[in-house]
Amino acid sequence: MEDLQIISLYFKRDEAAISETATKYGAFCHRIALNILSTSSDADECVNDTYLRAWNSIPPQKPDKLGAWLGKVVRNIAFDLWKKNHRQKRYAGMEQLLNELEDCIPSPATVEHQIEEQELTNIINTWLASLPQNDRILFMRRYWNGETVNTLAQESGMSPANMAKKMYRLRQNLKSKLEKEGYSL
Amino acid sequence: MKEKEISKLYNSITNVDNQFIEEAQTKTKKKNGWLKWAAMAACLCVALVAGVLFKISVPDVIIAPGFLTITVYAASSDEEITMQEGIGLPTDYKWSLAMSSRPGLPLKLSVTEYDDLSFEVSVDGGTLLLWEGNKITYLGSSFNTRNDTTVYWTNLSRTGESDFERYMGTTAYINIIIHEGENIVGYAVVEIYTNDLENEPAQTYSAKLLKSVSFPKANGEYQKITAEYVATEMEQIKSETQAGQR
Repeated sequence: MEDLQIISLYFKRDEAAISETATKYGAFCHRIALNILSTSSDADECVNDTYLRAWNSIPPQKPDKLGAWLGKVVRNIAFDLWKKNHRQKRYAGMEQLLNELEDCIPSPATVEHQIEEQELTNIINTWLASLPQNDRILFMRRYWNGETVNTLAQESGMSPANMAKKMYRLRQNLKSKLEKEGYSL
Repeated sequence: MKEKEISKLYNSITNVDNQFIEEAQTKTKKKNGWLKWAAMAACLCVALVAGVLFKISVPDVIIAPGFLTITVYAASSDEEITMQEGIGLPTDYKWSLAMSSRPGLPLKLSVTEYDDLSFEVSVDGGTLLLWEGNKITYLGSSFNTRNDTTVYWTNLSRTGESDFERYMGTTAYINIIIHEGENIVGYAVVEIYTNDLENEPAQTYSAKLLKSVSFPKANGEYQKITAEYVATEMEQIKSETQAGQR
């Protein structure tokens, strides 16, 4: 089914929107979640939360590219889940308490915060556009899709060590661009 | 690095332009060795048969990657970027009549390797204009210009002294044919497109260099490239792009 048709199902509040989304983008969402979380059950939870967020956000949102939009949602949810699990494993009881208390704190996503992130995204967009296509795809597959260095090395016919070096150079290149723009992360 | 900064970087990478995300989902699959050789052998057979049957009437043209540099400027700063084949503009470089400080989407056409150059430029939607010393000159749908000229694409077309008509298509194409003296030495096709046509009057337009090609000299001589050949090639590029978007 075409993206526009799926989105129109969301707008009609037809629950088939979820199953059509799962049919078309379920594997894609799961792959991204699994790359970040490494655990299939966590990835499943993350994908289910993605469908729920899609249901709650469309409408009013109307994504231009549904796949990319879902991918962004998966990455956000996966990162939140990773942070939550990561803390729980390190500090067990106390972190559990703090995590639960976090529910009482208003969202830190202030307008100022969002603007800062948008500016950073714009710089990264410009940097990505300036890269040769092969390097850009490698960077995105590693840091957006979350694919492993070994996978990328195998597909590119390079050794993992050389691929790791290539990734290091790309990160240094981005760092230099960010520093030039006044960001020191 | 603090967790907060990592989160910021992670979120910013998450929200990069959709085109980069889509591009990263296309994997280059390794072909089986035998499949590659079989495909090459099949192509060779077809080429031989075609050559024998039709005595190859296609002109023997040598092409090379384009040497035209198209520089685009950010909508509200002096930042610039060089267009690359197949890549749309980053957010800061997209142009909107309502939001930008420029009268159109700026495209600077320059070539450094040739001396006596001129560009034959045409557009099939919207209008190209020059903006020099705060003076705006609307250009026809086809015109010639010199090296290092910045042309601006706008979705407004002038229909009278102070009357304008808005271009309502989602896509327009700019054809650029590069001449050195009487000879055609290259061409490029740029796509201008919008995804929010209904957002009048604040539609945002982006641009993508679809193809840039040059015709190098063969044995020290210019190749005999005809305008018809270039026109056919450019139409083919547009058709393939449109087919890919469907």
